[in-house]
Amino acid sequence: MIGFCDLHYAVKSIFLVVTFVAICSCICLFPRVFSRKKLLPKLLLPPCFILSGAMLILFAAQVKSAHPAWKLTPIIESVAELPVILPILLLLTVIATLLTIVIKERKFEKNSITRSSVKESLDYLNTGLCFAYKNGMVILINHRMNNLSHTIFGRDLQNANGFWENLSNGEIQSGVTRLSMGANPSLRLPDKTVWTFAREVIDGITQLTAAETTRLNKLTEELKEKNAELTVMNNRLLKYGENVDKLTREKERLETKVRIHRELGQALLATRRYLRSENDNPQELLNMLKRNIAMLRMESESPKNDKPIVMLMKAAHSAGIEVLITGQMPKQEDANRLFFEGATEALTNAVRHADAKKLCVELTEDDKAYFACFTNDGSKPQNKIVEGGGLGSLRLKTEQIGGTMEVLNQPEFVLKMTVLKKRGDNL
Amino acid sequence: MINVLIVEDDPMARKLLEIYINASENYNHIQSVESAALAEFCCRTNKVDVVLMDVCTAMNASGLDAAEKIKKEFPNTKVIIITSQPECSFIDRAHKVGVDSFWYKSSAAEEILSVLDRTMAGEQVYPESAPSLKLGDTFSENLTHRELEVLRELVAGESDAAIAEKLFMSLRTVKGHIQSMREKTGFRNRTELAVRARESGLVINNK
Repeated sequence: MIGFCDLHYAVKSIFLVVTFVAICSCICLFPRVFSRKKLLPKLLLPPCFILSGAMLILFAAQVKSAHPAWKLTPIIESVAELPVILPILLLLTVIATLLTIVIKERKFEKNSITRSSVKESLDYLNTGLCFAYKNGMVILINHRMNNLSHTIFGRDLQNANGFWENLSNGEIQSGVTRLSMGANPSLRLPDKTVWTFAREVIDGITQLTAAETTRLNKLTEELKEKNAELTVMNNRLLKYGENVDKLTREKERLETKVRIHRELGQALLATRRYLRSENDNPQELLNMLKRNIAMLRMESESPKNDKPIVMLMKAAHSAGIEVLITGQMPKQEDANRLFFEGATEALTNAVRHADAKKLCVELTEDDKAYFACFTNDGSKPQNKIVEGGGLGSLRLKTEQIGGTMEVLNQPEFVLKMTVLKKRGDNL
Repeated sequence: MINVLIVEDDPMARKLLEIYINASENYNHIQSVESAALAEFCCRTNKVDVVLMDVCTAMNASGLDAAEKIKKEFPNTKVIIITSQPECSFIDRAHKVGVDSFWYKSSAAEEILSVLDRTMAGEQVYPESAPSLKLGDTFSENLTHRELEVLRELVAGESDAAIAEKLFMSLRTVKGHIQSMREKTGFRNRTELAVRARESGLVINNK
């Protein structure tokens, strides 16, 4: 049997190198293996290290023993005499074990998340991310957020709280534009990309995120433009509807005139028949002629409508109620309609509940709003006023146009209404 | 004599109705007002037997709203709605609020007086159906009730989203109804549909 001592010097050297490499590998693997939870590598690695170490010492000793003057210890001598196949097998076993551990480690590293893999993945994200303590001290930040900080403020993100405040109020680099502020500030960078920032506190940790919203911003702007166009179109439609109303009234008036002339023709025919003694009902003819004369008079007079407040006063006057008005009715259409409706409601209630003879309407205005106050001289309300159909409907209409309504029952019934002036309402 | 209150905002039509009533031996014209908002007050302060009222009156007051109040407060007072607008919902609404009779304004004096007589005799006089109106390639009766509701909001200048919210339907349903109406009428877009519908008087929505 060939012993280790009998091997060629070069082969011995290879053995030594391989054993040395095995020991180095063991040393490298120690921290990794012992930081894991798996038990088997922990059990296998120390024996591998001890065996490799022992073999290295033995092989080294035998290599040195090549000098004839040297004396070997009995243990080394006995080992040296062992068949060479034994150390080879032992070394191969150690190498195989180490390789298995290395492969497993590589696999583990590839398939599991470690601290560095978290950082690495964050850095690859297109979204800007930053986690910080409550005082703003940064715990973790990715490349994107740092780049954004550089582009916007020209410096690193050192404090998350300061960065967040500066997004809305701080000095920004030229070429950067603030698009919106508030809870989610948006900024346009010099490269025309739009970034929207968000801040959230999760379990005492502040999370800042930055998302690229260039496309969203573009779509939002397009939508805004389309909505503005639609609003203009809808307003035009509304105006057009009003014009159609006017045209319809004109059409109605024309039809009335046609009807008058048709009736006039009928009256003439009836008169002719009467004169030819074909009609023996003079009363019917007389009624027809009376009606026609009234119609012709009406057509020549061209009757016109009174102003709304005048028609209210006339209706009240016919019922023996005096309406005292101070101030002017608003020129703003919605306020005018609402106050007219308020006046009719107050008038009806004054007759219905208070048996009043006088209704006082006080109309005032300031820079911001129109005010109306309605009172009457009737009996004072005994109980709290419950808003029924009339007042309830009036309140609804008032609130629909952004106004306010107040009903007081003590010391007397008072109905107060306020309607805000629209911008650009020149009075 | 039967006391008649006239509620009509067009001065010429109002005067004409007054002439019809005054020329009749059975009726006594007691008052005329331009706005339906004053109708309830007039009924409260006068002995009114019958109200002859338009639907769209001065200050945007609805004759149908006023009719509802009058029928509630004065059930014995007869209410006759007269309108020149072919709005399809007016007849349904008039039935609902208890209007005694409903007729169209273009009728001659005898016809109006006949409606008055029949109503006072206890009859409910209504047209058999709303007038059929041509809208593009179709007629008003070919539009569904829901489509007409959407169309009514559309002519008021509401956006699709606002219509959906108001009529408690999804945005997709609103768009579906508009698309369906466009296909039936052959109009190119929603604006044309709204304009033509408003012109025809099929739907009226004076906000």
